[in-house]
Amino acid sequence: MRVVEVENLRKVFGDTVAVDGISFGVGRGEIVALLGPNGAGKTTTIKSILNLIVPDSGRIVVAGRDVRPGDYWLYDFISGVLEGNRNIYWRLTVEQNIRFFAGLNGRKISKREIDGILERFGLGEKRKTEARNLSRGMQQKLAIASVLARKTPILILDEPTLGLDVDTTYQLMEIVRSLREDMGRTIIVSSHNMRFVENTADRVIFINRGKIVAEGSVEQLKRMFSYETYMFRASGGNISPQGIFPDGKVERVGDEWRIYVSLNQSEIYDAVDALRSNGFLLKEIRLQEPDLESIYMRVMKEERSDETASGNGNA
Amino acid sequence: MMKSYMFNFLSGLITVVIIFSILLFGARFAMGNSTNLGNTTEALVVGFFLWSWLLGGMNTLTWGITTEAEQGTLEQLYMSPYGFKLVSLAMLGISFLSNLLFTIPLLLIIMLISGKFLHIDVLTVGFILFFTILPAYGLGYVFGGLALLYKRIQSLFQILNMGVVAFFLLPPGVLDIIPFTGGYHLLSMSMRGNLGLLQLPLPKVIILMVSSILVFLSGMWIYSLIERRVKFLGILGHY
Ligand SMILES: Nc1ncnc2c1ncn2[C@@H]1O[C@H](COP(=O)(O)OP(=O)(O)OP(=O)(O)O)[C@@H](O)[C@H]1O
Ligand SMILES: [Mg+2]
Repeated sequence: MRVVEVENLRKVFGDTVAVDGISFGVGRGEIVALLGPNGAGKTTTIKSILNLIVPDSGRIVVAGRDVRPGDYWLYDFISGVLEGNRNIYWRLTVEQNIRFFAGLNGRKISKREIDGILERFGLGEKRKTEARNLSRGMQQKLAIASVLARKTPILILDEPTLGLDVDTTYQLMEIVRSLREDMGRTIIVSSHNMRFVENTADRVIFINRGKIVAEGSVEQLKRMFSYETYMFRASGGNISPQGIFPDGKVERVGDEWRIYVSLNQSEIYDAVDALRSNGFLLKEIRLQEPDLESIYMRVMKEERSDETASGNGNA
Repeated sequence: MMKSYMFNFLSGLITVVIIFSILLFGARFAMGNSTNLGNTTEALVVGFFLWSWLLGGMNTLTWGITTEAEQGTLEQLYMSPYGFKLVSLAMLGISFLSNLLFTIPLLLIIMLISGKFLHIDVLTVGFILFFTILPAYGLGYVFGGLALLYKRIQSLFQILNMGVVAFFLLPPGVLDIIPFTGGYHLLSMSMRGNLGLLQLPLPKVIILMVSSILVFLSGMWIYSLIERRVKFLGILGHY
């Protein structure tokens, strides 16, 4: 069952087309990630779903009901942490923030529930600390914890990993997964952190210039872009391998080359031939599993070349 | 949130007392030792008392909305199933009660400084005060909305705030349909003449109630129009 549906959403600000006909649905208990470069329209889409932006056209359906401007009923079902570190009250303590946000949804939250949330987020010792005295990572955790206290079945997180270190990002990854696993929450998340998305999302939606350019589970995307990345280890050679593989990534390690290139099955023989005929001695050919980042780069690159090909690319 | 609201109010209280002292001694100085002085002082006390309330009323929302927008918590307040109307009314309720708490010492200080002790029938004064302040909250909605739409025009409102005093200077009569003017006259009548609610002219009280509620509701209605525009422009969280 779909708990959120976006249909043909469009939003123009002045002469910027922020969202240009986006449609997707989110099933109950699903974690869906929105990926895309700066200015792609992720935040605009998210705020439209949250009814904080009135779109120019299109439909937003939450829990089976159409959302109209000025509606508030949807906040029984959906809540969100927006971009940046400004979702909480800096002068309130951790616990006061959680109580306040629960109160905004008409909930009187029990001490036990607060304990549970604080433990999940590793904020137990900071209970009485004012939010402004927390580290950036803890503030972000508190923002999510506070919104969690609203107890809506659907959660939206806009760039929750921005500015966080590797360790905190990892913790957040675990938390987001556990929210779905233990609590059955449905989550829509936008992030620039590919590892975070790859490890949390059931489904990924690539957005570029206000349009969806690819969509699917991480596995599907890997199959859909079924090129594979090969790593050649080679030595010798009378030219730089970059000359043979202009799109590849070339590294020099000691006296050998490591060449990473995306090839399909038939191209691989040509590649081997090209290396040999230029005097390279091949030591190893290894198949690299494509990761989300390489898929992302590939999708966005194809987008760019499409634009130049059709003559309207200006970025 | 409460803490910063409190701090805001306290600093307001001190400013208000200082301004009052300057006004009072300025008036005394300007008037010399005229016989009219007693009356002027009383008018000043009532006017000043009311003015400080109106300022509080108008500024609560302008200040509240812009501060929440600045902090980035306004959008979180909007994401309440009660709706922002109800959330903001709760904000107003809290501010009204805390104003009430601080007004009593303020009034005492003012009366001490001026040496003029006025009769206060708490119920009557509270009743009239409520309906005189209500439209100020309505204007607060409008100013708050405009501040969201145009950003950083708060200083303009500060000047407008001062201007509210002009409504007290209007003569009693037809202009009493303006709730600030009508409320001020009724409040003066009660505080000076030791009159209870039932001793005040009923038509004037009714006119005050009706016009007050009307202005308040119009303020809320205008706010919802502005809010729609703000959400259309996508600038609810911007400040
Ligand atoms: N309120 C607004 N007024 C005018 N233009 C806006 C407004 N909000 C967004 N835009 C523009 O719309 C486009 C999409 O912005 P949006 O914030 O949705 O992108 P995003 O995908 O969230 O980007 P980022 O990764 O940088 O957060 C951008 O060009 C942005 O400048
Ligand atoms: Mg964004």
